[in-house]
Amino acid sequence: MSAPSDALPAAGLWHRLWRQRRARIALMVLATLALLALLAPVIAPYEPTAQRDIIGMKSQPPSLAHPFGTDQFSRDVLSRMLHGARISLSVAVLAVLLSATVGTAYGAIAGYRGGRLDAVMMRLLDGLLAIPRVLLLLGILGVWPMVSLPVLILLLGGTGWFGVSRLVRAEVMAVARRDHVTAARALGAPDHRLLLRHILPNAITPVLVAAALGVGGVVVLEAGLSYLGVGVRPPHASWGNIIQDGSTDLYLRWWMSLFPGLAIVITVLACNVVADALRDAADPRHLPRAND
Amino acid sequence: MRRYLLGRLLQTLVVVFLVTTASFVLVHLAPGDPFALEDPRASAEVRARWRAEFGLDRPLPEQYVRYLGNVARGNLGWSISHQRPVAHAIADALPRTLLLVGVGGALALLGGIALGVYQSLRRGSPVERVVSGATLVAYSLPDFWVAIVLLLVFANWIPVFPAGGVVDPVMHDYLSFGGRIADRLHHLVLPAATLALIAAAGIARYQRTALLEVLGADFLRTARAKGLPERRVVLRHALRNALLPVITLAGLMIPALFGGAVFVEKVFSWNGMGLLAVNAIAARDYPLVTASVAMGGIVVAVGSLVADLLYAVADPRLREGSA
Amino acid sequence: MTDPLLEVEDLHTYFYSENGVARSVDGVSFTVGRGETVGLVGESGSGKSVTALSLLRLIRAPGRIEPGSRVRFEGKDLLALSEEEMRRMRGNRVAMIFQEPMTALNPVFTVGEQIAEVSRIHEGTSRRDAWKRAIEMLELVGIPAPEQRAKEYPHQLSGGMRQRVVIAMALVMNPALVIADEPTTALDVTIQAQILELLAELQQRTGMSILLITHDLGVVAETCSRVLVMYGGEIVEEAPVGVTFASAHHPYSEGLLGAMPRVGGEQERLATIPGTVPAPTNWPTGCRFHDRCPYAWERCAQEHPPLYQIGVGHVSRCHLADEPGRRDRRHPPLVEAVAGPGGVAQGSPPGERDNVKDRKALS
Repeated sequence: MSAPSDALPAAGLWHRLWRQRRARIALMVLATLALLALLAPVIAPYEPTAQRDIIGMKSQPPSLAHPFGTDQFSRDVLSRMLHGARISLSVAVLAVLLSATVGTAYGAIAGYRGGRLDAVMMRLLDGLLAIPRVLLLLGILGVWPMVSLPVLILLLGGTGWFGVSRLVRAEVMAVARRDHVTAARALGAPDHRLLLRHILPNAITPVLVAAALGVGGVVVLEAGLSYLGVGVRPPHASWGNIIQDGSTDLYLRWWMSLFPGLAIVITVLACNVVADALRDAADPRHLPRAND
Repeated sequence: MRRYLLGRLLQTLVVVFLVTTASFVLVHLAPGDPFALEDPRASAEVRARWRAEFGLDRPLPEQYVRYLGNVARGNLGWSISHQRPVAHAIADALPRTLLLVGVGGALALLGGIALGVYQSLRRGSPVERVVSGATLVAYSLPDFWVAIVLLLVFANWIPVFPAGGVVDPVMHDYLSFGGRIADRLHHLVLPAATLALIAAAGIARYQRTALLEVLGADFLRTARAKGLPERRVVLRHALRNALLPVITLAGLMIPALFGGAVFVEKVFSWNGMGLLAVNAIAARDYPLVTASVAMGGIVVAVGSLVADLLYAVADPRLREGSA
Repeated sequence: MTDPLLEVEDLHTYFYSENGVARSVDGVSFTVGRGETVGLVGESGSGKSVTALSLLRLIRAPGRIEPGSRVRFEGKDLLALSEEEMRRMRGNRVAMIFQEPMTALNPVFTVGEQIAEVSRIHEGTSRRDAWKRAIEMLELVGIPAPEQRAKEYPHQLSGGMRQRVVIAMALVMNPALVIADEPTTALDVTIQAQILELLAELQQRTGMSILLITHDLGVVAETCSRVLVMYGGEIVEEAPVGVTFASAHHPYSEGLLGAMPRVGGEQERLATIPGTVPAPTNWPTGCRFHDRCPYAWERCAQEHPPLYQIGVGHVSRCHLADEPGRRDRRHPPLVEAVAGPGGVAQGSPPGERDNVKDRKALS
């Protein structure tokens, strides 16, 4: 992997990102999903909790009236998925925002200060990184079953910042040595200004990549936790708990596993493509070369 | 090297200690009485034993010390949902998880490396493009969904593999030795394949990048100038270097593998640590929940230590100091 | 005169990219005799490294040795050989030493293994014999305690020792020609001297020929019997070493000599050659040096000079050979006239340009 300080600054990043066709497609997919989620209350054909015909409409396979079928509580799966999109996507985005912020702060302080503080912070981080996120969340949610959505977001975000902070630390350490930082310091700029205005803007790229990956990751994680029964709770719909509802009779209600799963896959795929494209956009080796 | 080893060992011990403490904290933070004194499933004699062993009416710090002592002795409490010591339940479940993760991980590593090498060597060819696209998609799949889909397809629509369990619930004990091994393998295929699929995709992507980077290195030019055949240049000189970051990645994947195993065990009803923990949560069996989660964390820490050691052995630059 | 060991005739190596065609080596011809040390001198961008790689056919896509080029070695046309036959030549009859010893060696194998590998591949020697030979080679290149050193990894050795290892690797099969691409550039000055001495000694012992590629005229003076100066993808001057230093003909060679720091003797400033090396995608018309040349006139911008014979074994690609009188008419080169002294062409912001005009108006 290229050394941290080789990455180009964020300046032309959007431009170089948008130039890649796969990035354009992925971003538009994500934008569409976000739009659908936003407009869910308006475009969903039914209420997500509506049980219009408890006996007759139970567990119906996909049909014209119900393109994604109904669940065992006679609720329309498509509508639940649309509303579920709101929850799944917003949980992911907010959690990642939290992780990115905490991770950047932690990494920046460690990288900037260096020395003993850095060593201690990194040791702590190593310890935290060793624990699988799923197990950690299971442990916490296992003894606290009834968490509200905000708390869930806090937990997801609070467990996802370890990797980001390592990246930020490496970048900050590399950028902090650059001439323009020394020059600013010689002009009397205080530490926090140096960090915020001079160092971080140059170190931001890996954070963006990690954020893109992170959104996909949290979507999967939340879905998985909801599937296990500890994430988003009924009557809220989330893509994960729709699959959970379907799991009680997997073979019969296959559509309840298939469609939310596809939605998750598409989201994560788009996020990964964006992350890849961001990485390429930041890699100086991808610039048109002058003669070697 | 020795210093590095000691450092890592120390770190692992610290993690183990932290995890144990964390589980103690969690148990006591849980809403309701952690040792469920009101829980009807706990008989009077069980409660009496708890009170004695864990000092439930003593001040917290003393409970903590007792707890540590108990853990060191292997006493992890009593599982209400299983009606036996937690340690026994874990001892039964742990080997099954290790088997699953071990086989899945090995498959992922082999498959992923091979795939990654193929992708970097045949870069640009139409087949490679398709394979790379497929790898990207595979990498993006949620493990529990893959498990469900595989279950649907191969155990239901095309019934080739059993729908779950570690062994056949009815027939296993009547089978011959060879038959029993075959039965276990038969049940292992789908769960291991699920784990392996996603992990392999991740490893393949990483290996591809690593090998591509190495392929531009100067020492390969030297190797060619020495008159080495191209195959040797790539497979021996390039790959040896490109494998190093992948071994690191494999080590880093251990936590992810165990995390994924939780879901795979649930879908395939594989009686490992993951399923144990999930069921314990549903049953509100707190001692079992925290103990199994803690044990999972410890296993992962040890696994990472082993992986780091292997890496240190493989990379000569870490073995001795530099000149 | 006995047949030359190496005859390069009209070598063209081009690189194809979306930015155009880079004609890095554009019609290079020279010979190397048996037991000779020939120096190939030029700045970065002149095409000298590409020439070296072309000789070993180590040029990969998007580069290509153009048809019509000929490289005759020991009587065989290397460019006509199959890939397999060429492979057998590399490291065997022709060997190459690279510039950066740290990156030239594989970090995960011991130096002994890397040297032994050469004889195992080319001669099929057993592991044990190859290892013994590797130790012999280490001794040959002057590495103390070779049995221990052979078991060490590249990162455990100093820069000078690594370069000796690289030389050992190149000499295992007793090649007839060794191409050394800037073998001392990455090393300290004192180590440089040692390595050059080593090469000279080895040459005495084995009778091999050396093509020494460098940008450092000092190195050339020490070791070579003949000098080839490259510029713009072409040879612009060829002469025996004494002649080169005493009476170089081509203005570029003159410039290089003038830019050489010399110990002792009075010198106010190092003369630099104004301007920069042109890009191989866009060689200047006519003589490729004309815009940086202090003697150039109209003919130079239009007519590409051939190699004129100046004396015995001395050729120069310069119209001055045809019109020697012009040498008295020195002037600032074209690049300076366009951009100002210092010569690096740049666009200046409008404000500055006005100042210059004003100054001129005032003067």
